[in-house]
Amino acid sequence: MIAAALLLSYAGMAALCLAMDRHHRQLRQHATPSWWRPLLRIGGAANLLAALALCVRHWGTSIGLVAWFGLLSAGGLALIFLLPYAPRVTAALAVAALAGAVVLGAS
Amino acid sequence: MKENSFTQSMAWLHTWAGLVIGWLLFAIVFAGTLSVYAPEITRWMQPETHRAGAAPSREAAIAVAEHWLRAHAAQADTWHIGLPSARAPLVEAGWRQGRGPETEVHLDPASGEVVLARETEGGEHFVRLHANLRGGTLGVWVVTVATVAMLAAIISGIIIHKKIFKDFFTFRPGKGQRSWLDAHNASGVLTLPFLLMIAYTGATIAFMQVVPSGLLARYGTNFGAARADVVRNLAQPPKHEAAPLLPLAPFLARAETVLGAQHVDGLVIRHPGDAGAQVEAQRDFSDRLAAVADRAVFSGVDGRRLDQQTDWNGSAYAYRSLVGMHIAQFGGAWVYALYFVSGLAGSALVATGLVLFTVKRKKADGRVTEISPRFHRAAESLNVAAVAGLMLACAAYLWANRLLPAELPARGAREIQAFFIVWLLTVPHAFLRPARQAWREQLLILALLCLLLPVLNALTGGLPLPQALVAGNAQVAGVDLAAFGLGALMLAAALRIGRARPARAGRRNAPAQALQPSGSP
Repeated sequence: MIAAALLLSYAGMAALCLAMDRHHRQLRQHATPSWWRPLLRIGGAANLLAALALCVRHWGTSIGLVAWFGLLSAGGLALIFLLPYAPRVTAALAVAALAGAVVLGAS
Repeated sequence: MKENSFTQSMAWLHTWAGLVIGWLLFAIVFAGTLSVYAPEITRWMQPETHRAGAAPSREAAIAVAEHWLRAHAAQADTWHIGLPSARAPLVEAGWRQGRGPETEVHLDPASGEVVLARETEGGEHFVRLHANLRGGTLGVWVVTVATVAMLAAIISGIIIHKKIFKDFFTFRPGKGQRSWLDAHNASGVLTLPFLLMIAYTGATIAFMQVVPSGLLARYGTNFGAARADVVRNLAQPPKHEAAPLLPLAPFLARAETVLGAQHVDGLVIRHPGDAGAQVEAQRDFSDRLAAVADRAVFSGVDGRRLDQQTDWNGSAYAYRSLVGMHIAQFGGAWVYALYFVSGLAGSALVATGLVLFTVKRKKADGRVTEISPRFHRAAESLNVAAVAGLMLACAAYLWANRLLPAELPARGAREIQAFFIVWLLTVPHAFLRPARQAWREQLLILALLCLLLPVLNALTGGLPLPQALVAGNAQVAGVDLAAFGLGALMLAAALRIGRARPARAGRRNAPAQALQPSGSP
């Protein structure tokens, strides 16, 4: 369950990141399409909240909150230091992470 | 040009508090990061324990310790049994006479044999280095001041970071000063909740020493009374008449009905063999933030429950929650890993901040701005010793553990001497060599020591990495793999410094001139 939360926090951070023009340009040659931006923002935030829900379910509120902040940091750090070196891989991993989280969460 | 003077003064504070304290802070943060896995490091450093078996059950583990204590310490006033866990798989059997020091043996829970492990402080060395730089009371003061300065640096850092949201995900590698600033910002911003939490809780941990005014007002200098108000005294005096002690293993089930299944981590037996014998079970705090150890006490003669403390006053919960959040004994392997990763990011934050100070003040043509070239050179050297040198000393500590003979008297202290000698030696090296070479050489030696650590482990009696992986010995394999990973990272860093050098040397005709600060305006 926590593995799913970690994947969700990475995917969520990646979505929030690609909603910014500057980072979208690292992946494609153009800014984030305007219809795509709210989807990425809402989807990204939803991923992070889902990760929080998993943490709280697993550990309870107090430990769950502490661990959630840790997961956000871990997901964000992985993203930020991968993105400039391999933008396509970073984005593909985000999609894979989301899929993996769904599979792990369902099982 | 009208600069906001508040931001300017915050930038000044951030720069200078960060620099001066950063040389110590890197050691504090990095040692704290290693402390997350102190039990694992301790086990790695005692290869005699690597092949110990597992207890068939917790009751069996208690029986092993009990058997040993009845045979060897029947006359002692107090026994202590530490139950094996995934992190510390041996059974601890300890005893003491009166208020004397505790004697302790470690037993293989499967065979019941004493495991004669070499004397070492193991991972505790890093815990103590983190807590007081191994400098006793004065050290606690130094660390607390450094921690408060860290809080000031974090907050002033947030204030002077103008594009905290716009640059949230920004890292641009290969761009010199720009990249150092990006890495510094990213490691700080992305772990900000952790950094604020760890600095704040760290600053409050030693409150009894550094801000005792509240306690002094209420209790005078009698801090024992303060403790007694929080931790109830459950001990009873002996009755001075003999009575047989019940077998200890069944107390586990009794204790678990009070303290919760799987949460008893130790027993203290007072006055064994006396009619007033007591068995006190202690609870771990693996499932709660507050580091409070609930206890339940039973009669050792008839097994009745005598007393318990499973509820604490509000101040105990408040303070011990801060302690608990700092020492991270809760939540299991995921939480340890997250603390470790966040700690590494914190170490990177301090290291990149230190490097940034010198990079920012050196122009492409080698000219130093804002500060004197002599000071710049000293800062560069201290950076090398504070960052690469400290990590090198940590690796040397693990090497000393295996290279010093296992039977050497006071070998635990020798290992710590090895740590400090290596750290001290990195200082003159950093001052004598040009900064780039100093970085490269210390990082290269560090990388070699780390990369070869699994080999050293296998050659000096430890469980070799492949076998540890097959046996599922995550502790030994984890230390080997973490060292190898850090070594690979450091090797990459050292090689990168080596590659970037010719370009710089080409810009300056005589690289040696950089050594002579007098040559600059």
